[in-house]
Amino acid sequence: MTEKDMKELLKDAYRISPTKREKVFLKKHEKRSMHIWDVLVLEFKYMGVRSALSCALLIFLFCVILFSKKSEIMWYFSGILPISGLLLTTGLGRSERYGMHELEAASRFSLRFIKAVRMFLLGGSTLVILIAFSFLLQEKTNLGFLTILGLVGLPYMLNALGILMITRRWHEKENIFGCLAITGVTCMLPALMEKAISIHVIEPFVIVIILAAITALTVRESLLFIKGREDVLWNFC
Amino acid sequence: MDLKEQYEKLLRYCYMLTKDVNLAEDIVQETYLRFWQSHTYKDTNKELAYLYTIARNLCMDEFRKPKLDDIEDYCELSGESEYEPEARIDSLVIEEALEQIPKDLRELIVLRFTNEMSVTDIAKIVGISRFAVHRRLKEGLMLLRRNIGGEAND
Amino acid sequence: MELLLDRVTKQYSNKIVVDRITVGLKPGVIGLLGANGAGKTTLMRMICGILKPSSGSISFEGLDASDEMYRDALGYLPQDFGYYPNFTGMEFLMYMAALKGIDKKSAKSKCKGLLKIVNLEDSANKKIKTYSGGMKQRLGIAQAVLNDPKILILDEPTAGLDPKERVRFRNLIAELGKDAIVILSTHIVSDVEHIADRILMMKDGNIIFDGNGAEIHENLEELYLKEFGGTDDE
Repeated sequence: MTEKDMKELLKDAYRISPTKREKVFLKKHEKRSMHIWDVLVLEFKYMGVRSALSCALLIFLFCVILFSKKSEIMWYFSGILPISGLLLTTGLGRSERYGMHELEAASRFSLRFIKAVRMFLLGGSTLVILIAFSFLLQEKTNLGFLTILGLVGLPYMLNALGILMITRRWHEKENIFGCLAITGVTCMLPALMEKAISIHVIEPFVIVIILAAITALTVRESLLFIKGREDVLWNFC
Repeated sequence: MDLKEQYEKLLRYCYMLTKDVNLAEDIVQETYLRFWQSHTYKDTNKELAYLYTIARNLCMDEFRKPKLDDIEDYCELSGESEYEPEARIDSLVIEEALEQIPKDLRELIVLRFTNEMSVTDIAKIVGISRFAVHRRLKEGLMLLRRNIGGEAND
Repeated sequence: MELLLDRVTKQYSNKIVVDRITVGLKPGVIGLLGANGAGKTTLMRMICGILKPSSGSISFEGLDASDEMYRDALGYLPQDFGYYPNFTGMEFLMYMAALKGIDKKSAKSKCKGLLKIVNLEDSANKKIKTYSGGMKQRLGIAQAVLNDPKILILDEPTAGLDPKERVRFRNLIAELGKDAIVILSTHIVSDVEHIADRILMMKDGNIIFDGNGAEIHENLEELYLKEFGGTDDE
């Protein structure tokens, strides 16, 4: 036997197949890198009541639209959607509002990551809902998909932008009133839009363009929200 | 090297020293817990010599404990554990050959070629000079080869 | 095992809050004394990795403070912390355990064990709303040590506690200081006198005193009053 062969064999000496004890020990002590999925699940759990209510509202709307024959249903939907948005987005400022931000920031999952995850959950689900409902509404009205997206999305996006701007600057529990005010206003927007379009003051495509602009602003606001502003957050002492 | 790989290598080393899988595993887990009391998780790969030293000392402690006088009885008892090392003809050959060479040479060979540790680390763990490690490895390999050669000729 | 601060500075507009602090911290209890405005809390937040230094670096065993694994070795008890409404003590700890990356099963046993150690076993399933100040503080320390941290930062941990609880806390902190680097920021000189192995005094963003317990003795109170006694009228 050559030395090389021997060394090969040595690599396998005293080999033991993994035991149950090993598995238990490794599971307990092995530090794996954080998976986004873990945080997603965690944050979703804690959004609890709000998300449940929001879901219920949306399912209700879904059914109403499905069975409705009226084409005005689109405007009603557009008007109610911001409420759902309010329910969800007020979850964003939770950390600061309840004073958990320092603890979360110092944990392994940093605060930024948690916020990013919350935004992803909200933004992602919203987009899916908007697209789904827009498809649904296409049949009821005789407007194009993008147009519907624009008309339904605009109040919602304006609402989201308003809430984000408030949440970013106003950290007390009372900021909820500001958010309610914004939602109140944006809920009435569809009525205005309908009037404006029916008397041809604005063309629908203009609204779509406005939506694009508002979306860009909202994205920017979201990123700033995730980043946080140290000197606003921490009053140095 | 991730924790699983490192754990399994350490386990093999302890098994080689104690010949008892359950005991070896006790020692491995105790070693990690002790190591982590004064080191962070990230260090585990960087301070292998220290990790192995803890394990080695724990194994040595076991030998110093009052035990059954009859080594054979002890071996039989320890064989009672419901778990068997993977039986492979080739590895049995090498293990038998290893058992025939002196204990200290065996340890060095296993550390170097089974656990793939650096000579520097081995020197630290066993407490001899690097030069001595090289010398003994050479001696051990020669003896081993002779033993295996003997087996093959049977 | 050493926490290294190298010329750590924090500057806001024209004001320098922490000024080129360089210090190496080893396991034990380190008392951080200083008046409000001395930069203590800012420094602690930087050590926690939640505030970024304007310049300089903070590292531990080769990990920078911005590293996820650095925060993994860290435990923090802020001066004032909140909790999500309707959280019970146990729920709060479980949430923090999740954030620290501890898997659910280990977390459950760990949280139960810790609640026992801080004497909150009976109130574990009661809402935090109903907790007294001392109970809340004990919960805070429990979450800080969940991940067996090597670096423990405690910001005014005994403020608002009655004398008996304060003594209990001190003992707990002294115990933790055996294996970890415990940085204890406080106004209360007696806390630090009894359990700190090393004392750092901060003023205007600088460390003006760095010594171990033996060097200080009765002089500590004197020194503290001398440096900080007059700052109330600032």
